[in-house]
Parts: sequence; C-alpha cells; structure tokens
Amino acid sequence: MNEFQREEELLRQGLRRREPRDGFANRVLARLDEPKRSAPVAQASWWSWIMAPAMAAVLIAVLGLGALQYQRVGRERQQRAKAEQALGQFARAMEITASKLELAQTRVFRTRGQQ
Amino acid sequence: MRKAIGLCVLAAATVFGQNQNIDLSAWDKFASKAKESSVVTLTPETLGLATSVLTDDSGDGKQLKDVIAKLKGVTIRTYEFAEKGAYTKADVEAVRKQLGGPGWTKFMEVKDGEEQVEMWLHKSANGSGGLTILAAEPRQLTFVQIDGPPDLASLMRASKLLKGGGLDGVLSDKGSPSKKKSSRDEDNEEDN
Repeated sequence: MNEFQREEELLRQGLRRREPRDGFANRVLARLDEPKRSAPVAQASWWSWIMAPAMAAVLIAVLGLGALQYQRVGRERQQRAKAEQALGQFARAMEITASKLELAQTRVFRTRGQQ
Repeated sequence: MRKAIGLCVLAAATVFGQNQNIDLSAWDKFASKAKESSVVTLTPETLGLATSVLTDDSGDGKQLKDVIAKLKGVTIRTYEFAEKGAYTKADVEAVRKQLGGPGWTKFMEVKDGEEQVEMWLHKSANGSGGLTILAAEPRQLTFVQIDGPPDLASLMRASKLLKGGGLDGVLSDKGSPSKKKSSRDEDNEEDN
C-alpha cells in the first residue's frame, strides 16, 4: 500500500456513515417541545427608574442654583461699582469744596496781611 | 484757623429759610465752552450708596461714614476755561441772585482783583442747613452746595481722607487700616 492509498483509506474511514445513538430521534423531538429560551435582554431594574429623574432633578437644581448665584454675584458687583462711583464723585466734590475753601482762606489771609 | 472758620460757620447758621434749590441752568452753556468741567450731583440715595462701601474697621472709613451720613445732598458745578472772559457778570449774577432771601446768610465774601468768592449759609424751615460757595475766578467758575451741617472741619477732613482717590484704606474689603497711615496721625505729626 503506497502512501496515496493509505491516505485514501484514512479519508474513507473518516467519512464513513455512522448510526446515531439510541433515542436520538426522541431526544430531538423532546427538545422541540421545550419552550424557547430567549436571549438574555438587559432589563432596567426598578431603582434606575427612580434614580434617572432624581439625578436629572439634582442636575437641574444645581444648574439653577449656580445661575442664581451667578446673577446675585453680578448684581452685587454692579451695586459695588455704583457705590464706588458715588464715593468717587463725593471725593471729587470734596476736593473742589476744599480747594475753594482754601482759596477763600488764602484771600482772607492776604487781605488781613495788607491791612 | 480751619476750626475757627468752622465754628464761625456753625454760629452763623441760625437763620431759617424755605428753599435752597438753586437753578443752575444758566450755566449749562458752559459745558461745551469749558476746557474742563465737573458736574456732581449727589442725592441722599447716592450718598447712602457711597457709604455702603466704606469700612467700619478703619477709623478713616468710619469718620467718612459719619461725615457723609449727615449730608442730604451735594451739588457741584465747576467750569475751567482756557481763556479769560468766557463768562460774564450776568452769568454769575444769575446764580447769586438766588442766594439771597429768607434763610440765606452771606458769611464770607472775598474780592481780590478779578476773583470773587462768596460763602453762604442757609437753613430750611425743617431745620436742615447747608453751605453754598460761589467762586468766580478769571478762568474758573464754581458753585458748591452742601446740604447738611455746614461743618467745614469735617468737610476738610473728608477731603483730606479722599485726596488723590486714595480709597484703599476706607473701602470695606480692600486694604487694612494698618497699611494706611491715619490722617489723624498725619495731623498730629503736622502739629508736632
């Protein structure tokens, strides 16, 4: 038997008909009667239905409070700027007042000196 | 001397009047003619706003607060001209004529060449008083009206505290009293 014939024999043995074990047909029929097992589907648990809106509510609240805080700080800054501007105007007013009082004082001294 | 003038002013402020609102519209035309001008109008509200940023921690801030708190209003108009003759006597008279009348007392008038400075005191029926200064200089025209106690010493002190825009020592959340030498200390040094 040459090498070619040996390989042919091996192939023939591998492809030869084999009888199924006893009860094969019954087992197949039994499986058909079994309810179909569906593939596992990711199901949302009960807490996720509560957590999702809760998280959304918290997020909205945080954003809302942040916006209110931002507005409050902005208003305070504006108020502060106005107050500082008013104080600056008062400073200017006092500067002018003082300069005129000093002018009058100087003239009074000069007049007295001449007398 | 300043204290003496202050006492003189307080002593003179004993008359009662009605209205201390002065119409300065005659001077509106100077806004475009003047080289420099300052128009300041502070109402009780703006004065209150100004005190809101002053600190109580600093002596200077507290003093300023006390001075401003007593005031009911401040009106300033000053026009500085590039040349002489930018205004006429009639322009000055338009304001001066409003200063007379019941409640007004001229306690100082200084004429020196072309310069003329007048200081008036006024007191309203409700008891509030004030100080008005009308200064006509060759190149400058100034009107100052302080509604409130005409305490010159306090006004001069306030001016000194705020001189040069030095607000750091008196603002509520900036600087600290220790960083800025108090004006009282400076006064003491001057006296010594």
